[in-house]
Amino acid sequence: MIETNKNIVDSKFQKKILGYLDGSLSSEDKSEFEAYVRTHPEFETQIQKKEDELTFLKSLMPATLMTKPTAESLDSEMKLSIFNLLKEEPRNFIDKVKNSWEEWISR
Amino acid sequence: MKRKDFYQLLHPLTDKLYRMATTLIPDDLQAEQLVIDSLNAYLIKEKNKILAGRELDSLSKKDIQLQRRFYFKGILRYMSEIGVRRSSQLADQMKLAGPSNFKTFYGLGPKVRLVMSLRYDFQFTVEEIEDITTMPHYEVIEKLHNGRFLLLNDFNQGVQL
Repeated sequence: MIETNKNIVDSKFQKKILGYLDGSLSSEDKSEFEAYVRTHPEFETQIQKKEDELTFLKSLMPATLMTKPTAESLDSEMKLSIFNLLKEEPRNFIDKVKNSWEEWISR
Repeated sequence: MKRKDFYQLLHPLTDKLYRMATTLIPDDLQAEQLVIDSLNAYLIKEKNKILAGRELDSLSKKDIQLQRRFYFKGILRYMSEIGVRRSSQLADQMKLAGPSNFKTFYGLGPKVRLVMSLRYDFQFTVEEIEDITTMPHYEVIEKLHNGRFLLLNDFNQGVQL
């Protein structure tokens, strides 16, 4: 009887492992889960198993790296966007000179 | 904040923005365009706030990191919206081009790919993903669950064959 109860409790917390790792548990559930793990160190192997599964999952997802030409082209386009769209309207002649100077040194 | 400060702040994020874009659209040119469009949309909307921000020189290292993350999330908000829509429109063309690797991943819906990538590649919390994608909590959880299940299930079936 005691063994059955333990299994039910185990299974209840097993279902919460992913939620815990995903950070989607409520703060109460999270505290309850952490308290359970502290008192049941053997449960940590199951958490580790799920963590390994998630690490493996990442390998099934692309992590595309930019080629050098793409990096250069994207960088220059981003720079252009930032310098064009974040332009402050010049209020006077000094502002005009300041803007031109900033544009010139950023080339 | 000056323009050059903002550029300096954003420069280290270029790689990440591009990676996120290719998650939604697996095509070099389209992904590049998505990054630029998202950045432009963000700059137009947030111009005044950015310019009113503190100078980079006056920020501590920690503050710089926080600011960088703040702007990253801001641009990702636009990328999610534009990218999901564009990905659906380009779905047929993408099937033709078809990336040979990660077929299962690109077979998932754009919203599932978006959420999976934000969580497992960029390590955002569920709350942050809700904020970036404007999806309700239950939808984020559902998409994570479905994505995980479909990817692992497909891999396990492949191993069995």
